[in-house]
Amino acid sequence: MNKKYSFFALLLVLISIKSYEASAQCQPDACIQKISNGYTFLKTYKMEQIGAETEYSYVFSKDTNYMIAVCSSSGPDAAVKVTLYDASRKEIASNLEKKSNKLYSVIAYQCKATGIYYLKYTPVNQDKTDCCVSVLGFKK
Amino acid sequence: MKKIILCCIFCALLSSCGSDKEASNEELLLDMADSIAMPHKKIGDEVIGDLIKAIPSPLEISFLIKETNKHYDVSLLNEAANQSTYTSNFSKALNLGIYGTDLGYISLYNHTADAISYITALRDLSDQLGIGQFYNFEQIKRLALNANNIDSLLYLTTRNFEDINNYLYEKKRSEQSVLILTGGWLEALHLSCKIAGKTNNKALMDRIAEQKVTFEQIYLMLDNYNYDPKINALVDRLAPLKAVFEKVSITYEVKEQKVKEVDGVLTFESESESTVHYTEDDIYEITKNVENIRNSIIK
Repeated sequence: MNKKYSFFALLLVLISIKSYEASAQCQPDACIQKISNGYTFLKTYKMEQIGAETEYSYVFSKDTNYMIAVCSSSGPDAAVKVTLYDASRKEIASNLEKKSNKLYSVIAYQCKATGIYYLKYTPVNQDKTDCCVSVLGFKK
Repeated sequence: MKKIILCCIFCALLSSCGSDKEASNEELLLDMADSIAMPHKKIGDEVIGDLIKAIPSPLEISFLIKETNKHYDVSLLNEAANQSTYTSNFSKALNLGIYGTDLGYISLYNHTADAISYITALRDLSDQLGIGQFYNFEQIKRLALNANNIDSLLYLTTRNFEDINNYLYEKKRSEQSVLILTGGWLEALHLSCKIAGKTNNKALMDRIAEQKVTFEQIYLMLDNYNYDPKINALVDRLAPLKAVFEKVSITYEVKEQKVKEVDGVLTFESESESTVHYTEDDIYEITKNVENIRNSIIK
């Protein structure tokens, strides 16, 4: 009986440690580390509902460089696609490089047009993604 | 053995829980919501939450100010001592935003001596609004006193404002978030206008005119709370500024863009450009109106 209790207790501890590690990937403080090279932190975005697309908007300014980092619970590599659209809803950037089908965890956008931009987050592998956080930084 | 097992389960449950920054003085917060009488909102809370996230940080414009003018001028800021004169939650929230932008300006110029009084003003106002729990003032003060910590300070204060916005949203007090953002945005515009008036810097004047985009978002949010007499009066005061921004236009030219990988980062170099159209009179009118509105807030 005691062995049975011990097994479940150990299992619970292991699950908790695993879930803590996964959620740590989704903390803004951890994700901000990906924003580097003189970029200054601006905003945090969280995927509100797992498996669903989430969209945010932000006013980008001309002659400013923006960096977007994506962190998810599946590990250091991004499992979430972020797509950037301009005010007319034209796709202008994505962390999924179409030719190589490679998913980048950080993208940079050199903005030359002031306006409202939209950031859409889409989970690539819904089975593996428990949470997602993204941070936006800027550099003049 | 059972005790050990129970201890393990307790530890496991503890480790799976995040730290909850729930306010300790809920009753005080409820008392603070003094302006909400009969809400007749045109826009839902969720949309307001999205619009709040869309407002650019005043830091962006502060960096441009620093780039165009190396001279630090404390007289441009709202005096920290004015903090004690703000009695309503309306004026406290607006001036919290103003002081936030002022602290960003001070930090960028590394004037640590001035930073302390502004940090204190921010602490007092946020305590009075029941959101002081989101600031670790000792940590902020420590970072502000060391010029090498500027990035950490900006990160921490920006995160604090985000936490405040999230908290106010959850507590159905988004109108206070909107007021904080309005104050922060207005102060950044005030600083830009003052520096542009001295330097005639084209980039800064362009940025002032481009504030049309952000202004429209802020105006939309404030107008949503026009059932509140104080916010309605502020919307009325913004009307002349709205009229000037309506004369400003932005045109776009769509061009190709280059994509390349730089140090593991997928980088997009856009050639699409915007051009903002305005006259010197427009900048003068914006400056004049911003001063009138700001003076009515900081007095």
